Amino acid sequence: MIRSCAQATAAELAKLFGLPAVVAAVFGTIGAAVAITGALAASPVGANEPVAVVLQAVPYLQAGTISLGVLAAGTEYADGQIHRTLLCVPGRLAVPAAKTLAYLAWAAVTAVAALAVGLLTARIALATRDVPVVTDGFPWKVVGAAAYLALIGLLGLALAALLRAVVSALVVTLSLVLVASPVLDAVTPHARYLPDRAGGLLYLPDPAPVLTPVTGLLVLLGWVVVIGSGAAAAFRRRDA
Amino acid sequence: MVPMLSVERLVKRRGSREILTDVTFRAAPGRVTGLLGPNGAGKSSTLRILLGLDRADAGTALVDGQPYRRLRQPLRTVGSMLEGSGAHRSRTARNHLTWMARSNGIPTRRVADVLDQVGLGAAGGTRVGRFSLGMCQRLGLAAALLGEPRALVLDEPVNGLDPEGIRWIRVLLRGHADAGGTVLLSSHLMSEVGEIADDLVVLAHGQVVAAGPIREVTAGYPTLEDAFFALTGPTAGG
Amino acid sequence: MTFFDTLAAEIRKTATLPATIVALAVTVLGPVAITLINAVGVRAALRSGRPELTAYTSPVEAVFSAVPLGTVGAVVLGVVAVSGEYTANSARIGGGRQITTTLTATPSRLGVLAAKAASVVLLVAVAALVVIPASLALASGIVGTDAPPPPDGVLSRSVGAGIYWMLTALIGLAVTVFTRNGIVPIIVLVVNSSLVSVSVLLSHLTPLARFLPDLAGMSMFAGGLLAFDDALAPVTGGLVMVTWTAGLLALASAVFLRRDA
Repeated sequence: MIRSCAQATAAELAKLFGLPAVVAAVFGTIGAAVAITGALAASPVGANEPVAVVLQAVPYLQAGTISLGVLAAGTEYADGQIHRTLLCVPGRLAVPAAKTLAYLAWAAVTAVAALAVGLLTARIALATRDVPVVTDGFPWKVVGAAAYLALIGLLGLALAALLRAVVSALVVTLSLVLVASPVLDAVTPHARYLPDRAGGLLYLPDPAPVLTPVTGLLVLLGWVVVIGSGAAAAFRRRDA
Repeated sequence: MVPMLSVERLVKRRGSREILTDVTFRAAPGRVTGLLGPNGAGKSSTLRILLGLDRADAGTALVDGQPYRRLRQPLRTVGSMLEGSGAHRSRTARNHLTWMARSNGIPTRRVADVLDQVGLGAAGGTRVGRFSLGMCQRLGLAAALLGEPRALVLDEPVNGLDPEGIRWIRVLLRGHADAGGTVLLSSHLMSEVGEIADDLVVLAHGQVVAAGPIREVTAGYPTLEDAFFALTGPTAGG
Repeated sequence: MTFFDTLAAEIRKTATLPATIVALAVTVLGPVAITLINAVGVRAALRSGRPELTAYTSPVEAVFSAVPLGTVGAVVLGVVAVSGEYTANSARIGGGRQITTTLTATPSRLGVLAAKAASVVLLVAVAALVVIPASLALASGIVGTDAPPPPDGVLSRSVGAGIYWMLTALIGLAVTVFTRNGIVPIIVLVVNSSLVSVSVLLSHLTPLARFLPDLAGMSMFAGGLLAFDDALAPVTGGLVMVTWTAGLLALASAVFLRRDA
């Protein structure tokens, strides 16, 4: 059982590696991290501290991991690949589990690389502006940001598995996280339970503490689990 | 002896329509079994249930005495091909076969072997989106052969192949059966099935209207084509 | 064959695409839903006597702050009108692409592109005509008599929002002609229609950013909602965005004319 799950995960990792769009999403995210932290560090609204600059860039970078998650699940439904997948791994629970693990590995590497490169860029850009760089201890918030980036992409993966299409899952996830959430946040305090707001507590301080980073993480995971189990239930019941 | 592939009283409904009614047949080792029927007769649905993709509303479909979904490393037991290559168009042929091999613990050197075997040795690094229909079909066959399975289940394998490819697959399938393997293939092309198959299962309107060795099924008709139209015509079957 | 035949074919083709129906639903229902939530929030803030809880207290602003969601719908409409032509069918139904059929039916490349653009504009215009008045009515109905007097220029801002959607859809269409694939234009344009838009970020670096198509166009409807200083005047902004759109469409036509299908 464990061996076949490991084999399924190895297959999913190879699958992601073989998709040019996934590789483009990884390098696109890292490239965007350089450009955006550079711009933030150079602009007057950006923070004067590398870690803070990188954290300001996270809302932009989440588009990258969301794309990664959506591509990981959504491309199964193009060109009949899902049939091939189920012929190789007939287990209807093994497939989503392996896919999630493979996605998390890719997303974690992408997020860590993007944030590290972003930190470096911010440091250099601030140095050229002669801003004294303050650092206090290990940047735990950056670790939180990496976790957030990987998990918000998992929401994209779950939605793509539910919708079985790349484009509609991208539109739904990106507009929920990037468009609807800020608009709602301007008028209602309940917006704090939206997945990106709640998960954002992993790396942002909460101005009105109702949720803590831990409960925020649980709210985000709750969204992922609810959507993901809906997708998994449909996947088990449906003819491929 | 346990037949390699067996389908027992299969029923499948889509909405209120019954698309398979009590379909029963077997495919034995050492023989090529042809599943013959007009478009929409239920050939693909039967194979999809046999391969665990779709669920039957009643009846069983077993591979080596087990449902497909219970097989530990299915590609090593039964190789299959459905609807062309089943590869995402932006992958290379090699990546497509590699992930499949990984999923069943098949050594990745098999990838190069099967690519050579189907005549795609030079096209391993090409994206599947650039393949012709015939090349997609060959890639599908490569995937079926990857795990060196005892049984092959192929849906319309000669579609899109050129005459040379058709002869090649005929030799390949014959060789597989002669070596003790089981081959189940579906087709609506009678001449092809007539040349390859030892046994025939004729489907019409979701029912088996004739089954048995090819000589028995065509007995009393001048040609396979006459037998086919007599068995599957509007007056026959149900 | 007249241009109207081509147009009729394109409208039928675009309007019956499932993705278009979803996009139209997003354009219509998205802003209405957000307006509803916004307006309820505004009413609660006004009734409780704490208007500082929300970013604005006018029902009109509740509508215009919901415009970005309609922009997402417009982006999708423009993108799928073109990307649908290039999506390969599943291998089991032949693996063909619709563009082959389209261009054998209508060999005139410019005719096809013009008809596509016209049908996208028409669909977005219809959606805007439904959504914006409906949202305004909904918002003032919910906030009711507690509302402050409406600001000036509601009509011109409404028209501006509609034009902004149409031009955004056309930009999506033009960009997809270059990429022949919907994924990248959707990611870029949806991200950029959000509050974390790259254009807004650039506006902090250089005043030239206000001439970017989205920031210029937003001045047509945003009023005080714009997240950056010294925006262009509404009419100037609109003209700048029209120029961008026309330029991109011209470039797209040139590419479409020269390229093998």
